[in-house]
Amino acid sequence: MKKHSMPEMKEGGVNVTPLIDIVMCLIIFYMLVAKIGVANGVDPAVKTPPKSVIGGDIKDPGNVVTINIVKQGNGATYTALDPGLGTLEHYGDDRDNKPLINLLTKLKKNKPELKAVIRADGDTPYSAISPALFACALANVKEYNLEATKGDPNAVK
Amino acid sequence: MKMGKSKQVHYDSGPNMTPLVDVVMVILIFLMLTGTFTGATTFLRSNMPMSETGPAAPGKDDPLAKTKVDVWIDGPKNYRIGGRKIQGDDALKKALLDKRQDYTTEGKKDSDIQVTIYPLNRILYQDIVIAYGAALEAKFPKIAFAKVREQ
Repeated sequence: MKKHSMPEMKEGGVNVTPLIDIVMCLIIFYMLVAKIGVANGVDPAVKTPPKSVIGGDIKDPGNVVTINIVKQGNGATYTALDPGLGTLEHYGDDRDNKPLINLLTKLKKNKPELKAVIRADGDTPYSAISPALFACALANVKEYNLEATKGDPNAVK
Repeated sequence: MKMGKSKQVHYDSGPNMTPLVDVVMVILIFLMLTGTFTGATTFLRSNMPMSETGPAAPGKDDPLAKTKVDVWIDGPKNYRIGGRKIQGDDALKKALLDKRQDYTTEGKKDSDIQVTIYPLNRILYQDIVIAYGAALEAKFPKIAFAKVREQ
């Protein structure tokens, strides 16, 4: 009786199919999660202080305006991202916060759920921060977030 | 019986995957190096930028708080709650947690409790974040900042 069996297969090298599967999964993950070339209004020159215990993430980043408080001598200037312009621009300083109020008011009209993120260097005095908080209050931006970096707060002392 | 045919060797001659793997690896390394994630930052959230003493007077939907907790920041690790001096970040945290506990025991509503932080003008952002974080940790729902008029 004639026996039928599968022909013996031989490949020329290593089977790369599982490698490609994994690599493709990693690429799709990074493409979805990584933010490349997306302007989020963060000034990398501003280093926020560490805070370890409490805090959270922002759930709806589309409704957020980030206010960078950039220290200039004894005072500070404010920079933020106007989505219409797409770049970080100056919006007043601690002596004149009207440009910031105008920006926040304009953004609030388009986005009623607008939230503010306040970023400042750890050694920025409150005298430079309070005009930005006042600007949020005057523009009726009720929710605001003080940004900190995850870490040990005692490390800066 | 002869079974010569089944013993034949077949070579799999599919598409050459090597260039694909090269390109995919380059893309993967690029994404891994240039991608940024939001994991390094944390946000201390509140819903009231300034107290009623500032320009943002509470509106109709935000009634004036009946119970006020005033936290003064006089310097790094130097705080006052009401007239009581508090030294150290942990002591402030404990004092605020105790106050919160007292209010809960007394049956006070969250909407009636207002924490106002009064940092002096020279107080640094890193110290403000600590005091503010302590108030958030004590689960006070309404935390505001006020401007101190200094001489």
